[in-house]
Amino acid sequence: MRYQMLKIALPGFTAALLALFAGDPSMSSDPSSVSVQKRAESIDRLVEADLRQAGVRPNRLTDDATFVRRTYLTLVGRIPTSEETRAFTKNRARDKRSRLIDDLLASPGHASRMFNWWADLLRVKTRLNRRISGEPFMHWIKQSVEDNKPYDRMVFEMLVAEGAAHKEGNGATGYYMRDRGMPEGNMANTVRVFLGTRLECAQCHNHPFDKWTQKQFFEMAAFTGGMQYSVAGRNQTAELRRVRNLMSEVRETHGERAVRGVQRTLIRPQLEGVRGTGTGLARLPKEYQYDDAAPRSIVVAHAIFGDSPEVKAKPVEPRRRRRANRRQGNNRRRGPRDNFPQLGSREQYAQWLTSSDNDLFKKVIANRMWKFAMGVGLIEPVDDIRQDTKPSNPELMAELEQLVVDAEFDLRQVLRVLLNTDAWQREAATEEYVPGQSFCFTGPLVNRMTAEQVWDSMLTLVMADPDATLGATDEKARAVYDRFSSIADMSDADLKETINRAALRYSNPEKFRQMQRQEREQRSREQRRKIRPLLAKLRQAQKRKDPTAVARIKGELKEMGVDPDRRRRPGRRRGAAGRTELRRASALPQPAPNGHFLREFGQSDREQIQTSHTDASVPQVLSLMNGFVEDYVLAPASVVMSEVNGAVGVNGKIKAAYMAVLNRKPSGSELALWRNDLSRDVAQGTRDLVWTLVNTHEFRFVQ
Amino acid sequence: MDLRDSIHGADDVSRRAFLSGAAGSLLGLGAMPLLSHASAIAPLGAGRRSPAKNVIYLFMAGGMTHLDTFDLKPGAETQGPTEAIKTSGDEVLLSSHMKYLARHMDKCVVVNSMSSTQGAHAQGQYFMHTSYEPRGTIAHASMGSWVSRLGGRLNDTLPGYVTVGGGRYTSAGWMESAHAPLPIGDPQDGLANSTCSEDVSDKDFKRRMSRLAKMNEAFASRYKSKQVRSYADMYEQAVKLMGSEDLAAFDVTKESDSIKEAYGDSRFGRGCLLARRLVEHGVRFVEVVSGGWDTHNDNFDEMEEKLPPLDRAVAALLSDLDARGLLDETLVVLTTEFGRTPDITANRGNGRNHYPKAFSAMLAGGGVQGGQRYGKTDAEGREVIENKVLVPDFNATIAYALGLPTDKVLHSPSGRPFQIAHKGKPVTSIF
Repeated sequence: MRYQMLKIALPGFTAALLALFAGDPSMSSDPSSVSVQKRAESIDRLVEADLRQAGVRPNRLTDDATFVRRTYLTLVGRIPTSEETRAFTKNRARDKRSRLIDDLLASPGHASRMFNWWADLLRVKTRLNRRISGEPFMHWIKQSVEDNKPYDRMVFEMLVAEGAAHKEGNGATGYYMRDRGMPEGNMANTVRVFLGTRLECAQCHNHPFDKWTQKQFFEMAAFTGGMQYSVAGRNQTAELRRVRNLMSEVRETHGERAVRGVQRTLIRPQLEGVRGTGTGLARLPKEYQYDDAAPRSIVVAHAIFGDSPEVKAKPVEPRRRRRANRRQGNNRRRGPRDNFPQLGSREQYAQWLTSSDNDLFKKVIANRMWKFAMGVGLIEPVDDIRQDTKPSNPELMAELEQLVVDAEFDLRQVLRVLLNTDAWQREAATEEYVPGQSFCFTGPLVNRMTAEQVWDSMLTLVMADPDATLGATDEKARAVYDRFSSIADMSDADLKETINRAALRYSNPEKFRQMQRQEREQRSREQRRKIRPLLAKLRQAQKRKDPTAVARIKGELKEMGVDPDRRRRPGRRRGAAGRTELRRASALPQPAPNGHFLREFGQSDREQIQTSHTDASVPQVLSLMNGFVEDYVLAPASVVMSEVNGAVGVNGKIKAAYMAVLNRKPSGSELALWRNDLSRDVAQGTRDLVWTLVNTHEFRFVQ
Repeated sequence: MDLRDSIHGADDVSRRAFLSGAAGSLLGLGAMPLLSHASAIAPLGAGRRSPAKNVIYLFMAGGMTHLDTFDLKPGAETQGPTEAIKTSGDEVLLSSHMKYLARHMDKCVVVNSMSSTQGAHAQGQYFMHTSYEPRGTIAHASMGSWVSRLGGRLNDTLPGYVTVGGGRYTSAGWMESAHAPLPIGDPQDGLANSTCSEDVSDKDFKRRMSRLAKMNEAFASRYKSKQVRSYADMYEQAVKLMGSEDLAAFDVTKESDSIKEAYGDSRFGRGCLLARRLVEHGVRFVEVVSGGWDTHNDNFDEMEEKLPPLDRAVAALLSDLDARGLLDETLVVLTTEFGRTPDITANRGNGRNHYPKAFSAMLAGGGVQGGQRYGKTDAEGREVIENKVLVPDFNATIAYALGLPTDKVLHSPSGRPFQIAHKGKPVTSIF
């Protein structure tokens, strides 16, 4: 607990310190009293003891080629480039594996990979609904992983978050805004994600096969009691009064429908946010059916397990003012609103939940990190831990929990230890994981790449330096912050114009659309004027087959927001991937639109917790055979095709293709097979070769 | 093409499967399944019309409010600002935002007595799709996979089960991946990338495939997992599809403007249109997902925005199927994972919360006797007071409409027994 307070007091300092260590590989092996090699050895001893007991021998350590590919995919979420692969395999240093792990953990690619992991877990969306943006929350997650903010600290910040959702600095409120209007559901999600416990059944009745009662559910929900999803209270701000005065004018000129529209689109976004530090009280539902309490009675916050914080809230019926009820007018049937005093129970909840004394808190993250590295948890499923749940290797589970605590919830440090174990560096297990049976860790489990890994690996084959597409962490959120502050700072006259324009959309939609159309046309006329000469040049360059000029002009066009490769070829139907930007998955809208390459490959729709999947499907295969691979990977300007075409001799080309796509040398028989094809027709042969390699199991499964 | 001809060829398998299921029930199961079978067998002889062949399953993900759609309670305090309108089905009232569908209620049965045991989305959707509650140790198969498995394919080159616009069913659960859904993300794109690049000739493609098979040999023999096998299956299916004359089934842009217009300019509308094209070409089970029904906030504003496109699309689908003579052989199902609370939330912006105890669904075509309601809730829409239909019962009803044996037991690879609708009992009186 003391440690936590310190971290809260000195977040900047801690971050600076961690950044310092992360940047220096010689020190990074010991940033927080965790000796990487010693820790890795203890883990190995426990894994090997378990294997001995099962009568199985561990696999041998991987070769360098498998290691470098697996490490890039695990830590930065994409395959290594040919150059990165060669640099590693040629390196003669004895500690080169540890060094690669250190380098990658400190790279922007790692933040991208962790963002994808969090996004799946926290159901991250670019838009939460028509008026709430998810960008501030995304910015906060990106910044947190980039700064390597300790895990417990991240969770703590989410649970105590407060303020206007669209205001800069309040990104963590996205955690509650994601479940706006359903604080009980949010609590159940919190308990599932961070404590691996399923409480949601107990919202409506005692849990059918676990010990939780409905009363306990509401006692937990009481910690976030009294939370409001709007930052303006009864004491309205001056800002709001100003807007309200303007609205009466709107009502006269544009009518009631427009007033509601303007409120929805312009005013409510300013008010969206989280208010209330927690009353520590909740009401049981009207249908409550058990003997231990009366329906609609008030319960005081109490934690479901461990040392519950003591919340000093009084469960007494508030006296209601008649007038207050009448003012609610047509809302009367919804019942009166409870106005209990805010006592800061949310902070108590956050302290209890994220404490290193909370067994499940550390167990869950330790198990998730093991799964992150090894492909399958010691406890499966990772978020349904019950009293009788036994990890497949209890001693190892305990060791991992201790590791998380000793590393002070620094997940980079935890991954550093895990990836330095022999257990992780062995050849992959050949067995498949069967739910309900414990997995024998002869090596990591072979999984298909995640959707994001497939996409980001494709980009690695297509473009030089795909990590450069990550962009600044606040790139998109900035616009949201600016809009929020600009409305707040607007002069009366400007505000009036803005509101009137917004009102027009509702009072005269035809005129509004016409205005919009005119503006759009104006913009596109200007753009067309600018790109027309470039397109002509591009055609000329293509005609005289000048790849350098083609690439240069395409680059210029792309900078102007035009993707010349994106235009449909007649007669061929393209997926949404063909219409999207070539940027790392973490820099694209979250989730990618339905039908996008990422969604085809199983990116979560972000409606529910961790619903990403790696199941095979026909559209995936079509993308690999005819779609993205044909259009982008086999395009003459792609990185892989340039490397292959630039290589000297048939053998050289085959080796270049294997290096770029599979990060290894071809075997003798592979070389012989392709030599035949390439000698017959080198252009067709190289295309067939790259096409085939990208379509192999070996490409999409992480070995 | 003549749909019926192609069906007759393919139907032998399903008929055999069906008869063996029926035989199982004759060999010593209770009277109930026997009875339901007696009536299900009838189509092969005389009596009831022949069973439906296809299902278009419209799923309202998030929990569609029953009070503001299909279970209107004019005058009740729980009704809120939603208004009711009369429909062409004498017994049925609908929300005033569903004017088009109102004209088709004579073809529909509205089930007002749906009831689930699952009040969270993941569990509720899982239960609705599989008839089983989620368990950590097995992935159950969803209705689409069951229909594909028990019913067999009507068209050899098209999959038996297609999902449109998302949905959480990405695998066939414990069944082989041949029964997994083919997911279509955006109906406008149809089955993207289903033709080779013009630079690749048939010969080139065949050569590539043979090289690929060779390259995959070592990996597939080293890692013998279901996941690796399922990729091999998908390549096989995809290649079959690429050569299929029925590929056009996936292309909604081939429809006339007036038809597209009728379904409406919404993703869901295009999804319904795609579903019609697919069943026309012999896809057994098409699921179209509509999201965003989780109206904890602004329930009434949301309905004002969400219902008109839904209304338009479903009404167009029904009249289109009817006009093409497909409605009898196609069961259209509209359902959701649970309903929403009759009480409108207090301090949280005019919403309704999850309510599994009572909700509504709609069935049309496939031999149902339209224009009626089945089951009833009380005056405020809180409790089912007549003919409760549990989730497995509902799925058993779908199976019944298709003439599939609800008591046929299939075993998962781990040896566990499962049935198409768990132990649900079909509602037979609506046919």
